[in-house]
Amino acid sequence: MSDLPFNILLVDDDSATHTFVKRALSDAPCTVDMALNAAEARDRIHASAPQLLLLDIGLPGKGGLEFLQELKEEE
Amino acid sequence: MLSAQGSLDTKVRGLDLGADDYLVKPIHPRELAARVRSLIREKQKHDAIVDDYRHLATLSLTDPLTGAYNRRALDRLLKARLAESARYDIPISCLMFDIDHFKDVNDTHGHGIGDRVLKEIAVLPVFRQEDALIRYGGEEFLVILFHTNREGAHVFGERLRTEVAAKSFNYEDKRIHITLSAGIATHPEDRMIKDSETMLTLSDRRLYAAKRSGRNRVISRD
Repeated sequence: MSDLPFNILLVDDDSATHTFVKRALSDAPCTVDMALNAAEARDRIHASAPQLLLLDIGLPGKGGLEFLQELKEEE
Repeated sequence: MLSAQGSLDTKVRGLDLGADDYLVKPIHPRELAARVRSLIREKQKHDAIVDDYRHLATLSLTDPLTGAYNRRALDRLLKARLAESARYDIPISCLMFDIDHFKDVNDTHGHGIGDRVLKEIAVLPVFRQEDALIRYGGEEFLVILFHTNREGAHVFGERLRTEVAAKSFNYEDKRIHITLSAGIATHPEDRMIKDSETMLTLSDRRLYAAKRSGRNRVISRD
């Protein structure tokens, strides 16, 4: 198993959640990247291939469930 | 998934779509950290299993001595390539070659040296990235040449033959010179080819014609 930090992408339009998650995971063996919506998340996924996605359901525009469905179909 | 609403339908839909967990906000930071650690462990286990599976899949299709594909891979590769060739009208050739008098190499220099010769054959620069090299038997190999008609395959076969004939295989104080014989079958130019079996049969027949007619030659037609 790799000892490299785990790469997590948080997709949430609420900046307070970003701060909260970063703090909560400050001791976890991971790095946390942020995106505010599905389009931004897609760019981040292409750029850094995160291993774990924390995805808010209530995203503005394309919702979290719809975005998840798209990602699974592309998989 | 993260959500401020914990409706059962939304949870079920998210999990059915492939989410690994569903967290309802507000969530205690310690619980979030614990859940994320648990997800990381699961993902790492999953990745390790996928790596093992890929490694085993590669091993199951590879000849351990030479690193070339093995016969199990040949069945899949040739069938798939032939089907693609028929569908898109792309020429494909199958070149079967065998090292001449290889038993003498083993008998004179030992099997260890014979194995080193086979390993060197498999990495000759004449083989292109897009060609599939398969170890077919002891000293018998097969090359699947996609997008290659009879003429192109014959040119390739001659290049391979002359490269091997001119090469000196040097191990310690030993200088070994070998030659090879090859038979080629091409779809669609060889009309008897109906499937992978008939293609192999025809290339094998021409390989043995090359052997019978004096070895160190390439035969691509009857």
